[in-house]
Amino acid sequence: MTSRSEILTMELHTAAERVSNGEVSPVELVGACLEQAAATADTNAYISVFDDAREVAEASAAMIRAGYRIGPLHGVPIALKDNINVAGKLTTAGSAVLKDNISTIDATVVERLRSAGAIIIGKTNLHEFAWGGTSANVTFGFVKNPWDMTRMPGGSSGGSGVAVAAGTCFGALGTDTGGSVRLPSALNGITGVRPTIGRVSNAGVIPLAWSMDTVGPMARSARDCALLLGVLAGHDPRDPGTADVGVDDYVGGLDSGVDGIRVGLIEGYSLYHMQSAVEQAVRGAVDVLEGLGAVVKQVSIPDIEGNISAQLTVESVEPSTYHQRSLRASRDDYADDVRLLLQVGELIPAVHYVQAQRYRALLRQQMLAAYRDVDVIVCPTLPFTATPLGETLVNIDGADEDMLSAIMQFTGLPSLTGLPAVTAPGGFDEHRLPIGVQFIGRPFAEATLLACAAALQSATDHHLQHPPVLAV
Amino acid sequence: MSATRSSQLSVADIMATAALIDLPLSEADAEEVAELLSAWMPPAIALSTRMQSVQELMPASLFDPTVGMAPDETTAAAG
Repeated sequence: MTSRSEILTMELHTAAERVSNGEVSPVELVGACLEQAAATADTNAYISVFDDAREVAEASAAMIRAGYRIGPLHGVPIALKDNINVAGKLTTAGSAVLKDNISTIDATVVERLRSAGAIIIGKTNLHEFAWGGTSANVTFGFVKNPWDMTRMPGGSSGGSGVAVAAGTCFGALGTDTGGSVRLPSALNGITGVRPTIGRVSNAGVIPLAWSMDTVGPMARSARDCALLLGVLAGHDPRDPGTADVGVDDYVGGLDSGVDGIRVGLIEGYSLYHMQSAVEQAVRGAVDVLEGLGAVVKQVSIPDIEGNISAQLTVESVEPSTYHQRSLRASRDDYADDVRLLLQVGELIPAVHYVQAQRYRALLRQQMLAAYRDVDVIVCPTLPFTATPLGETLVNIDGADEDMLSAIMQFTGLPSLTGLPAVTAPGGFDEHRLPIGVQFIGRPFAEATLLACAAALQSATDHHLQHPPVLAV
Repeated sequence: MSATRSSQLSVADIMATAALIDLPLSEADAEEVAELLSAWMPPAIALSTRMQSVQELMPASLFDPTVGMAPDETTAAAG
């Protein structure tokens, strides 16, 4: 019998191994997770919790006893952001607009998780329709950061980040348009992956901005994310946007180390304009990698300025297009902040949108040129740590800035260029709030990024720290 | 429209444009839209202006030209 505290602090890959070995039962895992979800309900991490997961766990345990193992996630509880459809279950996208919406289909990522043996235990809270970075959800409650319940957890996949950090599941799926997997991963002290555009299917996922959306895994460690990404990745006939590109052995590549890896810092960007604790954490991570054999170089992205504006333009116009009918039919069901953004998006000139899309091509050209000299680019995930709930401004370098623009400062680069990125815990600020370090790579180079994160995690223990709500 | 002009968008500007595109907007909403759009437009105009000098780039949105082809045509194209 494994203790509850041991279960709740266990990494996903360990849980999967122990289920496989018969050392722990899926029934124990699901029971512990559901109890923890109930015990931490005041975080508002979940919109719905699946009590029928207990029945699935019983069946999963019976299969193990009979010698059957469905796949690498057999018996492991996983949570899903509530913009990912699960047939027969509520899918609200965090909005009153869809408060009674029962899905009729499974998203492809749900099919893949189940095919790997995972047990879906619930749907997590988010910024309404994934259009925002704080998860301040007026319909289902503001999601609260388990490291400090008076602060926000980032977004839009805030519930998924909190669900993992608080020990209510072993991994979760988020969606990332402008940073929505990476931001809550960073602010909750966990690891998250934004895959290359086309690496993971979006079929069955409620869109935010079609040209930048992707599903991504969130879990405690690089190893956990590698395991999840290996299950999720690959071409999907249901999503023509997926690429027919072979899937790497992400777990197998984790121990390749970083000896000789060329780590790039973008001049005037990677270490520019951020809170001092964040800068120290990024410098610390780079030092760790250098100590493990990486070679640190400076690179230049001449047209990097403009990336936030381009992101605001694209990430406004596309959601406004998707919601055009609904905004007119159900105006009052939208949260004030999201309704405002959708209205603004309709008023952005078409020429500016197309110029922003052309800028994306320019930025991608310059990023790919930089990858002739480096293998990985490093920068913060976001320039600040978790802010108080409801705050719309953030202080950086002594000045208050608009939260939405500041939050996109570093996550926009992969989002605009379609490149993959991994965020990993890089330390804590003076209030013991987590800080994320971001690795950005070439197209489909997730294995390299995960190896860098794994190397960092082999030399540090930031990813093994737990928030107070996990003090069981 | 100059950056200076756009940075001072009025509620009347917003209401008129919203009417032009058939976007129902209350005056209270228009006030907030004017404020946010006024902040966003100067950098958007700057970006658009910069991109005017980069003529050779296509927008970053593509169709896969092989989707919808008959299987034998796809094979021929690949070969």
